[in-house]
Amino acid sequence: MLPLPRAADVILWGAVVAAEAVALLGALLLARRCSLRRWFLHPDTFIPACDGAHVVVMLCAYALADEVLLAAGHRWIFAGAPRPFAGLVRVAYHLETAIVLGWPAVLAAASWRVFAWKVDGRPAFLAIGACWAVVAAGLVVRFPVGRAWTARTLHGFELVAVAFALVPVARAWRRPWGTAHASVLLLVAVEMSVALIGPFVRNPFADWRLASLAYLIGFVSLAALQAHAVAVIESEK
Amino acid sequence: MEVAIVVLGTLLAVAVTAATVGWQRVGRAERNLGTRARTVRALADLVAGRRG
Repeated sequence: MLPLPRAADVILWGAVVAAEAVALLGALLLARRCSLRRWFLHPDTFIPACDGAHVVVMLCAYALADEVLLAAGHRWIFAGAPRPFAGLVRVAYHLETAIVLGWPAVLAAASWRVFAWKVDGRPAFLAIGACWAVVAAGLVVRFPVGRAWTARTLHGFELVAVAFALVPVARAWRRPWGTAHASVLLLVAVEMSVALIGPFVRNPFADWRLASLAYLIGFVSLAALQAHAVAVIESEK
Repeated sequence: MEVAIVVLGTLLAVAVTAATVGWQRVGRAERNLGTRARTVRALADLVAGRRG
């Protein structure tokens, strides 16, 4: 991939953070409107714009925190630190890896929460959590595994998580879908494109801006979806 | 080149998601319509049977 000037990377990062913040704001706005509507209706009533609204808030919040924390880590902790990392820098590195692995895991859990409903989602949450913990702990125990194996591990986990996230979608085909279902499916589709045609194709450490581009498109689309849902709720008043 | 592939691929993923959600909603609306039509027909048959 062609090297870009540092300013372009900063602008791209800023655009991703802004898109995630706007999507989070839209999700919060929607969840707030929905909690008021739920108060007057039976809790089990299906409201297309409201069902699972809190899951989308959680996803957007995780994405935003992930983006900011990772950038802060690379700027103030890892830059210039001697390799292999040791002491507190190593602890921060393992935390960073756990957070990076956490995004596809959280996405898969959100998919099961939204599409599979409460009853049959619990074993899936446990499976996702256990898988995340085993992979994150494995990277701690086998440290340092090198860039190639770290990339393979992250890529493998991402592919498994995306595949696992798609399982409940097929199961929920005959159930009513709302905004949260569309939001989660959108983020899973974007994650799939990151996993299949994104930075992992060659070198995620050098090409991560490819993933940033995909996330920018994904979160701009999500923000538009949230804005549409808020407009629908407002028009129904 | 990689940038174009990722941008087009992600836009395609977003479009496929939108089409899937739209298809699911239309299909569900049609299924609901079918259920309603069957219910109305069953009620009509019931009323007609009772009358007969």
